[in-house]
Amino acid sequence: MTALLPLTDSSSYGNFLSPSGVSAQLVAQHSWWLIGICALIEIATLTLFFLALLRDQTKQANPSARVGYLRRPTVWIGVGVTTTVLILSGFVATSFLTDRALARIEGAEPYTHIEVIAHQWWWELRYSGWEGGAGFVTANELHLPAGKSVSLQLSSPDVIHSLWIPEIDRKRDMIPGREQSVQLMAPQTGIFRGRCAEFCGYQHAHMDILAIAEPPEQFDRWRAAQASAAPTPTGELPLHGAQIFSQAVCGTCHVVRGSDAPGYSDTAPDLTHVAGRLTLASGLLENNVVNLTAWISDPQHFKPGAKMTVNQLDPQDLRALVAYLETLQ
Amino acid sequence: MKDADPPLYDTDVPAGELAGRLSAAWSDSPGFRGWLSSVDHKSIARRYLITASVFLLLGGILSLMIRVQLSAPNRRWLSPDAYNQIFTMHGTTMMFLFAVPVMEAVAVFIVPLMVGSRIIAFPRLNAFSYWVYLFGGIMVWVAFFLNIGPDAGWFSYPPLAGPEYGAGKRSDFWAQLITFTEISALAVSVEIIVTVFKFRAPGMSLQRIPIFVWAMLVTSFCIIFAMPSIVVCSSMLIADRLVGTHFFNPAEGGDALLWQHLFWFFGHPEVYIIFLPAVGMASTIIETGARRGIVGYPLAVISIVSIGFLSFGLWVHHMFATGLPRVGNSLFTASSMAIAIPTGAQLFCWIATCWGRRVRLTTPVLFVAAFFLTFLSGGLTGVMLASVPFDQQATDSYFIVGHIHYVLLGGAVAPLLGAFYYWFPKFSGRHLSEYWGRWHVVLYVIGVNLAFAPMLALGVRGMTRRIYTYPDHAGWGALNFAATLGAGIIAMSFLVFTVNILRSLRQPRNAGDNPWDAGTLEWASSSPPPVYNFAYIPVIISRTPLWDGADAIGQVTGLQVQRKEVIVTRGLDAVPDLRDPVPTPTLWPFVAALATTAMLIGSIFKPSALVWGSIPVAVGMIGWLYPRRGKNT
Repeated sequence: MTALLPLTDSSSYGNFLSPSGVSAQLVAQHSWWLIGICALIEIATLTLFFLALLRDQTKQANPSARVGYLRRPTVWIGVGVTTTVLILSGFVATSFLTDRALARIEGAEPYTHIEVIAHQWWWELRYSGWEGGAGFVTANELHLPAGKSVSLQLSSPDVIHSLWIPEIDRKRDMIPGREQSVQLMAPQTGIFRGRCAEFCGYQHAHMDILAIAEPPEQFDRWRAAQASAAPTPTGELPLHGAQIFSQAVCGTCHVVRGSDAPGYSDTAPDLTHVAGRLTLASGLLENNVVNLTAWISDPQHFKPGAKMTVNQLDPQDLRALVAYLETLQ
Repeated sequence: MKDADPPLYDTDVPAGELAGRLSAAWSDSPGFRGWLSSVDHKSIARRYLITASVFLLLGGILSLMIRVQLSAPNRRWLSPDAYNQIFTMHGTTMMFLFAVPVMEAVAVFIVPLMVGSRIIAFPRLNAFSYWVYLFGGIMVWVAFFLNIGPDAGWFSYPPLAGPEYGAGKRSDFWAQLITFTEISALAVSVEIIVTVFKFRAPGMSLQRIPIFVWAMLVTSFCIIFAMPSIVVCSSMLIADRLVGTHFFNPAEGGDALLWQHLFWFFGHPEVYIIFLPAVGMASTIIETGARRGIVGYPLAVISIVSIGFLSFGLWVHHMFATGLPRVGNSLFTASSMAIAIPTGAQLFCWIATCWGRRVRLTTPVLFVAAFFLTFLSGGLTGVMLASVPFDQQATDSYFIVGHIHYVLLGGAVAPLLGAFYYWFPKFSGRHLSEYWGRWHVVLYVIGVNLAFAPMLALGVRGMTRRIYTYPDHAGWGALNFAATLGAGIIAMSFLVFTVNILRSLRQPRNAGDNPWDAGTLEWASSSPPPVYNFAYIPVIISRTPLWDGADAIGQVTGLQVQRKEVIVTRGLDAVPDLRDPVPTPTLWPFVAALATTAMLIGSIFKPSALVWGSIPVAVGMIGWLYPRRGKNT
């Protein structure tokens, strides 16, 4: 396996100047004003400077003249400085007002609570329980009810990370020892790609998170399914695969709820419903049989430095293991 | 020199003999040992300049490696480990081993000449600061070549740089490099402040100090107030890593965010420590190009001083995403916007200075135009980033990479290059070619804009910083390719620059004493200046004495010619106060720097080296300061 397998997904990489989230839209609007006015300032300053530099090039040089030709220079400089002060005051005021408006959006009653825990180089997501079911743990794909506010509890147990989904909202740093609580709302359905924005070591480049916004009813169905334990595998191959999973090294880190593998959901991604995810390895690879097989055999090829080791499995066992994982819908 | 000799004054010597006698008293002893012992500010500044240029070349090669890796999606030429070391070394080298030292280098050469002094204050300390800087730079680059280069970014945030996640000795080398740079930069700052306060030519009262000297004075104060902050935090990091303290370890009651406050309390003034000298350089070039003193001199000085003050009040804008209280953040929005006011005032002073004048479009002036064509994009994106909501979207994305490079290459390097063309006749007695200079400017402006405008767009499109590769479907390939092309053009512009310098160095020294017809004192001496700078220390009555006729410069007489002597003047009005003997060349600063290096590198491997290593340092210092009968110390 030498070539990187392409991921073909429809998720948006985001453009924070044309976003879909309400908060991000508010910021974008403010940003466009800043950019527009700053562009005008740049043009005006350049024009003034080059006028000053070039307009008198044909004039007779008069090296002995100690007095310039700009009359009342201090008045003109005063005009320039006053204009600067006025524009900047406007910026400060709009920045402050935008920040206030953002704070008001975040005051809404949240639909659900999710703990987002950033690890070197994946995302652990702990959904809180609700009337219809108990809380559960999943990884790397943040399902959100579209049009509803969701409260996120951000933390990191290792190094500093930062959650950034440009289309939905601004960055929030995740600093060990400090919890930050934020509210997020995706107004429209869709898949929005986010990523870790704070340098966090070898695989900082491959620490994406998919925000999947779906209608609330669909979100409720999804979380009900996630809350359930993994189905017991049927068929010879998946059964053999389940055995490999708990007996080989997989089960020492990964959890599959309902299986007898011990695992820890804060050490490695929870795999209870891994087959239902769109991507593998934090947004790096499309989730399909070929990629899954390749990833299990040699994670270090795709994500050098990741904690998952190379697995030299018998081809038969590898096929069985993948077949088992494919049943974890 | 024997004690019994009666003192011989310049008034006793025929004018024809004065130069010869002064040279005899001031020159370094010949040979390698004499070279190592030199305390002449001009030779030390040349070493600084050459060393900083080497580090610029090394840092530049690293930036090209980064750009090649990112020129197309999915490149795997550099491993993540190599990439992390390379971008860390690029930032560290450019900030600590190029940008600050090169500004100091120009100042160490020019400031004493500009204020009409024969020396920089504390010449031996000056030699020491150079050697410490050189040895620190060599240390970290040797570590890098041994594959133990720092890899946690030039900002080294713990816990990633801490004992648990920063494996091996990598971040220790980074932290000790900071110690080297701190020592060196603090020493130079003290020298410049004292030079400006005590060694100005008689008559150079505060309102006659050239803008560049003001800029270096404020920069030096910024260094003195900013550096202690990073002294504290890098020492805490070393202690965490080497002796098991827990300053930044939240599990034991430390705080990872504490680092960011301390680092950026230094890190933000650092930007202005690099920018303010460039402002001074551009002012000097514009004054000479327009052949008049800067319009609004008091305002220009006040804006430089207030930039210095304000630069200490905006560090939190590097931390808007960390979840600090909103009201506090808004305060820092206001202060960050406020610093644009004096910066704007400075630009308006320049425009007013040029207005109505026939400005000579020499290469230095063209580099000031390059400053406008590049720095404005950096400064104005900076104004945008002062806004909390905008910053929370843009921070840690390529928008910041574009912004900071616009600021540094546009705001600092462009005037620096202009200053290099401007003062090259002073350094070497030769002109650089104007023809190649124009090529240099044009390529530089195109390169900088082509390299960094795409980065602003990439940040808007969600590309985060410090990633070693990115996927095809992110759609970042074309803009990254353009940025790589731009970086290549910048490299070409420096190639043109190098050719220009090499061609010029083969020419005879025929630039003349004052080739630009400038007004400030450094041009009152010959180009290049003699080792004693001025045969007679000048006395001035205006800010631009060379433009005010032959009788605008007086001469101080009555200094000894057989030993090195200078005039010390009073801080405010520059009234002569006393004659002062000048320290002689000596090997001790070099020895002390070697001992300091041994102590600091030793401490990376054995913390106890700080204890036993301080003994040779003490010996070096005692030797350096030991009073000798009949000799200047």
